[in-house]
Amino acid sequence: MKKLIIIIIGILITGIVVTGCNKDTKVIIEQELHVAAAANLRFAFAEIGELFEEEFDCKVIFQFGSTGNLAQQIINGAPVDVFAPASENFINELISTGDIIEETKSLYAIGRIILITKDNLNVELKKIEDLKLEEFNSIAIANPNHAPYGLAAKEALESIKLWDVIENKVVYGENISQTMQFVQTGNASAGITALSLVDREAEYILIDDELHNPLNQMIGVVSHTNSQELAKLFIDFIKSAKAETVFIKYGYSLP
Amino acid sequence: MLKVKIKKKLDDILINKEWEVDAGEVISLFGPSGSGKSVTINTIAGLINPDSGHIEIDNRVVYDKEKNICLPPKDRGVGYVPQNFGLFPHMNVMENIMYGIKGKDRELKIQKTMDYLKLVGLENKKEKFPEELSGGQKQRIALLRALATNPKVLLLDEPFSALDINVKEKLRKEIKKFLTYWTIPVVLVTHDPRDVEVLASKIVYY
Amino acid sequence: MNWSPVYLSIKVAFYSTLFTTIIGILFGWLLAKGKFYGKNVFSALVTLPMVLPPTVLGYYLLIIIGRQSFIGRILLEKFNINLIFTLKGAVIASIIVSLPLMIRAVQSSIESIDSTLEDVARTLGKSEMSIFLRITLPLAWKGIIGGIVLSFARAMGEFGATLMVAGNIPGKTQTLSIAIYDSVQSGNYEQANFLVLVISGVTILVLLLLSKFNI
Repeated sequence: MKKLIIIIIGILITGIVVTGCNKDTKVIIEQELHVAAAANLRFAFAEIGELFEEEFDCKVIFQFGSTGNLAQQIINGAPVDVFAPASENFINELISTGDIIEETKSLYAIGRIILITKDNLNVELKKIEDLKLEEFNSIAIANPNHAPYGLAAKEALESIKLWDVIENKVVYGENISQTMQFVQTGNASAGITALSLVDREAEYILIDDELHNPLNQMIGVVSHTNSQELAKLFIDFIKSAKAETVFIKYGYSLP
Repeated sequence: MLKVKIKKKLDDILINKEWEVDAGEVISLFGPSGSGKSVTINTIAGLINPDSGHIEIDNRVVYDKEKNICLPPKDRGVGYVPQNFGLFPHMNVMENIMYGIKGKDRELKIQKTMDYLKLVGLENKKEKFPEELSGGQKQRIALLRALATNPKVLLLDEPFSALDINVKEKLRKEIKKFLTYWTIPVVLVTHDPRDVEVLASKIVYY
Repeated sequence: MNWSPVYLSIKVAFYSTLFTTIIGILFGWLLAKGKFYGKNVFSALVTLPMVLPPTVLGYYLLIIIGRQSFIGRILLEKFNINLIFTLKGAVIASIIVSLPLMIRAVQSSIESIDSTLEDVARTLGKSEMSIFLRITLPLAWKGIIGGIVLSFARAMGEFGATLMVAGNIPGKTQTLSIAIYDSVQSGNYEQANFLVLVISGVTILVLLLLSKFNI
């Protein structure tokens, strides 16, 4: 009996493996567009992607991740068609390595950062300077070394001369998603994250964009793409009125 | 006929021996532990190499430093029984003995094995695994396994040292009789003088 | 419910464990028995992937098999194969992280076999290959199964290196571990919890199965 069960499970696993194989070689009927985008663009791009798929009858495959990693992967030949990093210097860098087609570089939105706090705090955060208070014993921002929104957060804090005061209370999230998690799970009492990641109804303080370098959201077509036409169409679509509505909805400013 | 002439330097001793033994004779390498007796038979088997020398089995040179001859163990035609018998734990008695028998005919091999087992009265143990056998039984199986390949010389490394005293004496006599079925030279390594008394016709002192 | 991460993980873990077993037995045997110049260096190199963080490994892999590298260019130009962002890449990443475990398991397993047994086999006229197949391997089997179990579990849980090399493409390379990460990243904790249950269930099932061979 035992042997029978083993054989059956063995066949099941082999079956999965084998049919999995066949999936790969299936003929792709529709055109696919592969877009690599920074984590903060997740919700906005997902919605825009659906609109694009409807209008152009194709499939958009999104990969959301850390801009730094995505850039490295593209440089090393990852089959991506469009790249939307969290900051413009990545676009510029990839243009200089020849991985992005310079003429396709476009500015389509401007990101905003906000200050959020965890639930059940004893103290209310009325203005950003309140971060000095003892109650805010850990403040999460994205790692300024590789997350543009984290860098903007640091710049903003430096502009109002708060950075030196609270630096020892700062914890770094790997990206703004993780930064938000720290606050949402109550592990950090406050945090600076992207406006595009929070609910409209949530409580937050919008950080004055004069306090930091602009978070220019740029986009470009990857030079080793096999779907250049479709990629260019996507870039145009990102700048279209339809897309603009979505960006505004998710808290971006327009250029 | 087995001709052995070897020199080998080990950490604390120097082996420098030359001796020979005829078919049907039993030569005992006799001496205390660590005197290089086991090392010597290992060089005859080809499991390790001496520093220099000449070894001839049945008029065939299996090792000669000067002529650069050194046959691997599998080509020397030796039968070897190590100190703890070295039975393969994952094979039963039948499989252990059959392992070395050459040829494709499985039926024939089984038959031969059964014949050997009958010689020592252990046919009913053929399906048993080594861990189920007594010391004396293991020794006889190991011996059969070595002899089943029709070797040209038999090497026994302290064959009785792992056994109880009462078993030893009985086995010595049995093995002595048993060895008469094969007319090949036999090398017996031991530090027990009783072994020499009963079995050996020649001694080399180590 | 999207089951593709489950298929993908099982597929990757299966192929990874298969190749790791073959290569692992070979290298494990080499390290256990071989006497060659540079053996210690080789041994250290083999252990290295265990010491490096998976993301770092992934980064190096990216560079080594990406199209900018020597290997990557040959693959692309001669065979039109691109490994980045493919399941093949994920399998390679899993193999690299599992190999040290497998090799160590095989090596210590073979080393613990009484060498007298192999010596006896030689005097019985057997070739080294026959000895390896009929004496060494069967006696080392338990340790090898242990290695297979470890390799499979490691491959199922592989994340950092896979993410770097194969990316996070839903339906194509988003394995269970990456899917869980992705769910957490997008705040979808319910999905994440569910996937955690699935990966735990699948892994335990296969490990139980493998332990049946450990008689």
